[in-house]
Amino acid sequence: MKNPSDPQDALEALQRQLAGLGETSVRKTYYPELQDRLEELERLRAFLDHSNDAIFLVEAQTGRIVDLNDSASRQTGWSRGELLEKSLFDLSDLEQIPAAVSLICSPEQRDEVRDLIVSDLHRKDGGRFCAELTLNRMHFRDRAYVLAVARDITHRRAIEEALRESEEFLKNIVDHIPAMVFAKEAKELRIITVNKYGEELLGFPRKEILGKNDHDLFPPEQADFFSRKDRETLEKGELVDIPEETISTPAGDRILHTKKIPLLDDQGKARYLLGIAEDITERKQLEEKLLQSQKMEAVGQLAGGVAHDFNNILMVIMGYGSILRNDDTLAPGHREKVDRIMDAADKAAQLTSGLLTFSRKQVIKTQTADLNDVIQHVEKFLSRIIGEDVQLKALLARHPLPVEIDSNQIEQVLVNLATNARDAMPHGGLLTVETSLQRIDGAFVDANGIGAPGPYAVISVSDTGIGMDDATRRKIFEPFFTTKDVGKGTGLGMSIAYGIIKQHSGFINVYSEPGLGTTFRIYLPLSATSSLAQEALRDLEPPTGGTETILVVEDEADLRILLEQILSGVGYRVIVAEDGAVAVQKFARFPGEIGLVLMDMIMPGMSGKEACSAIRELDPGARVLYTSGYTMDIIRSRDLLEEGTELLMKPVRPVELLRKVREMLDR
Amino acid sequence: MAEGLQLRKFLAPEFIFGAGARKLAGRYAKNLGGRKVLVVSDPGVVKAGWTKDVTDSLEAAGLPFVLFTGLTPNPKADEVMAGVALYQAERCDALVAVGGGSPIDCAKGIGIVSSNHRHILEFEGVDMVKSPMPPLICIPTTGGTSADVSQFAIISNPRERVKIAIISKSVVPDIALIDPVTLISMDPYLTACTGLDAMTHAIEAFVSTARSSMTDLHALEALRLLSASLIPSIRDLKNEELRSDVMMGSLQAGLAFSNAILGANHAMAHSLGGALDLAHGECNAMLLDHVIEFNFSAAPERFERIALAMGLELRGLTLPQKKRRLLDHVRKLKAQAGIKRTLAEVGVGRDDLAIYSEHALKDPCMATNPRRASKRDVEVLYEESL
Repeated sequence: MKNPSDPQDALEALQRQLAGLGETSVRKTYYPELQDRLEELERLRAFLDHSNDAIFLVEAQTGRIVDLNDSASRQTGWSRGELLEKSLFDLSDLEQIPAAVSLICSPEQRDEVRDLIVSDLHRKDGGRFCAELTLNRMHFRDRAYVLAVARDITHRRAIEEALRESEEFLKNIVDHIPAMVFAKEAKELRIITVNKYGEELLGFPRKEILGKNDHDLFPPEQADFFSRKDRETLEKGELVDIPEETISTPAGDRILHTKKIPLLDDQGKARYLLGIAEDITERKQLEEKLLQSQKMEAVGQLAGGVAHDFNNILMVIMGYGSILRNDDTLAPGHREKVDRIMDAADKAAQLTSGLLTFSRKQVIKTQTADLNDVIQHVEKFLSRIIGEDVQLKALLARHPLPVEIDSNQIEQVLVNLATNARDAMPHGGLLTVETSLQRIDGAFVDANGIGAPGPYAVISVSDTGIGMDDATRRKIFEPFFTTKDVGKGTGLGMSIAYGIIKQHSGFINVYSEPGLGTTFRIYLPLSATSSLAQEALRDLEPPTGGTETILVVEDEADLRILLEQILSGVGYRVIVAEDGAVAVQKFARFPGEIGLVLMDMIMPGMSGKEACSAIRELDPGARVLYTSGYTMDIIRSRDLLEEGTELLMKPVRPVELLRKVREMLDR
Repeated sequence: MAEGLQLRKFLAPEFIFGAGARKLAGRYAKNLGGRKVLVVSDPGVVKAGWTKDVTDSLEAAGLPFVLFTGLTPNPKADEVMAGVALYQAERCDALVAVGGGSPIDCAKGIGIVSSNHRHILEFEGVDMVKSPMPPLICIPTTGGTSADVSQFAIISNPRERVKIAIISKSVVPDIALIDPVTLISMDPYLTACTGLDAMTHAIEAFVSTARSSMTDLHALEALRLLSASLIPSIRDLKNEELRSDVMMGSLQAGLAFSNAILGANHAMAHSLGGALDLAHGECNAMLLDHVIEFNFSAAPERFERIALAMGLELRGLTLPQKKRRLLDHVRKLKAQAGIKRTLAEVGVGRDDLAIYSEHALKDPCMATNPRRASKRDVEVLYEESL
């Protein structure tokens, strides 16, 4: 090859080039570039066509489709040619979506504006499918377009819908679970979910519970306990069972049986706490009652068994004792000793008899008797029991109170009560025994939790002794329960009394206030068929009302309202006062008008007694009717007041109240 | 018509003339952006070795190629479509035609269809090819049809037994590599047919109603060259210089007729060729003198100049005498070239003349014939040639 730098060669080369014989001498050279561009274009189209999404290039303002990919044609069912004659609005519901219309039709240069819109796309066969469209405003060579990429989200929608339904279903289930279901997050123990039962139990609407923790909702000791248990559960990483815990709710304290379960994430870290709590308050109450009655039953069984055997042994003792007694050859000194043995045996027999009664193994023989007679019969005996320091007062009902009783048994009960009363008044006092008639209605049963409706003869035994606190009072009828020192009592007396009354289809309850005294009330069903009862029953007829003005003084609001209602219900005009001071003021305001003052004995501030004196200063002849739970109070207050005062026992029985009121007004 | 047309267009492809031009195929295929070439040729040309020269140059340029030789003289529509199928299957993007009119017209057909996506027969007529074809390089091996520079593609429709003419500026090849060396392998018959075809091109272009001074230049030069060298080249087949002159003459004739169009001769020859699958050059030759005679009166001074270009002495002769002189010359030329047969001898029946005449009249080439011909006229011309 010649040296290209040779000038001759250079000239020849130039000449050749000029003649058009150069290597690259060709008129049109854009073919290579064209080829490249074409190939790129074809490849672009190929990969656009491969996209699963339907892609449309749409003219701005009109929405006319100017290009599309294979998927667009395939998914909508129209051919490419058919689609190029349509606008995107023809194919979809975009016209009804303002954001889409604004993006596509806006004449302003709004490049790079994009939006994500969900709309149905229509198919040639009339069908439609739900699509998520990404609309992108763009520019190409002075023309504005919108690139619309549509993704078929039918499947995704179906999944979302199924998920939503599933969530709804689960939520429904959780809400209908008859127990409180809640969840807290592990960090701050804030409640993140609670079901309907929980809302109702806690007494707050859901939105006031969510986001709070126990310290926001419950008293500190309770909240501390809950939190401690929560932490324990989360640390242990397993279920913690809390058989009983108490929570305070607006409706009162409830007892819950709670299970706490930690919810772990994939790494085993506790993220949430799940709680399930069952309200067992009622169940617990029932359980207690059951336990009580089972205890009683068990003891009764035991006692009965022992008594039965014991009785047999006693019979032997008493038998031989009797034989000995009847032996004439017995020396007087020995006879005395045998008498003592017989007395003791008698007492033992009494005791076993009581035990048998308590265990309800003893068959009682009942007869119709007037309760008043029974009281009178036993009065002397009671006096002897209570001793000289204690005064006995018997207040008998005006009319006979026939009841079906075993008199001995009832007497035994009274003896028991008297004994206890004596023991409660070591320095003396007053024991009152009263009989009366009472009709028990449903309200009474509900309020006191015992009894069955009907007319009852009531014996009230009240003392001015040391009284009992609430805890003692609850257990008074429990067998072997005693407040006395060891050896000084069996603790069976009250249980036996309870058993006896129960056997008589009656019931017994007790009021007591430490330092003031105790009142036992025995309710025995009135023997309504007896002729003697007529008089009594007549008394049960509704009393008449009146139109006088009555001043009601009562610190307890509910009771005050009740009294007002009872009195105004039969026509009286009622003025109310919530304490003694107000009572005096009001009495002063209506001089001469007030026919009767109905006053609670025990009130804060000025007591009933003090108020009465103040009123009596205004009007010495004012009639005052006290209400109190304790019969002894009025007796005490008799030291200050002589006439014109009466006592009405609580709970106030409407019939009796009205009768008493009428009676006093009629004086 | 001539009076109405004040404007004339002249289009010539980029061409390289000279010995060895065929070996530039690779270079130009590459320059035109080709990545895979369909080489269209016929078995005869392959046998002569010219195709191999071309494909070698493609290989040297690093261009892969596919060879298509499934064609017959007078390329048929089905052959074109088969070529298209191959072109697309092989993902070719450039065409190189090596051979006479048949491979070149076939390649043109393939190019037209691959860009326009319709059947080749739908492009019959003028300016029917809307989209330009892929890069096309033509390497003629005859002197010749000059299809390598013309805007014509003639395709046979054997079913109808007609030839269709596709005339469009976009049919003009991108590059023509005109190598006179390739004529060496032509036998006397082929040399005579193709040479006389070239001459007919020149004559018809010169008297065409669409002629211009540009085309006249080329037509007269073509006649001068061919008159001087055709017969001698038949006699001295291996003479490169003579072959070169013939090739140049053919080129010049091609430039002329591509732009001035043709006349009755070609219209009638196409008609026969479509029906009877006859050699195009021979058809033209058989009709030539009769058509000249028919047309003479329409452009006597033109024919006079043709006669002068062909080297005839016309001084002192009357017009009829000049006509006589020209016609005799043409007949002598035919005889010297070895074209002795008449239409009847090649199978043209008298009964078919009506149909042939109809087809000839429909040919676009008839539109630029100097003299208006009726069906009867054409029939008579056929008759005279029988």
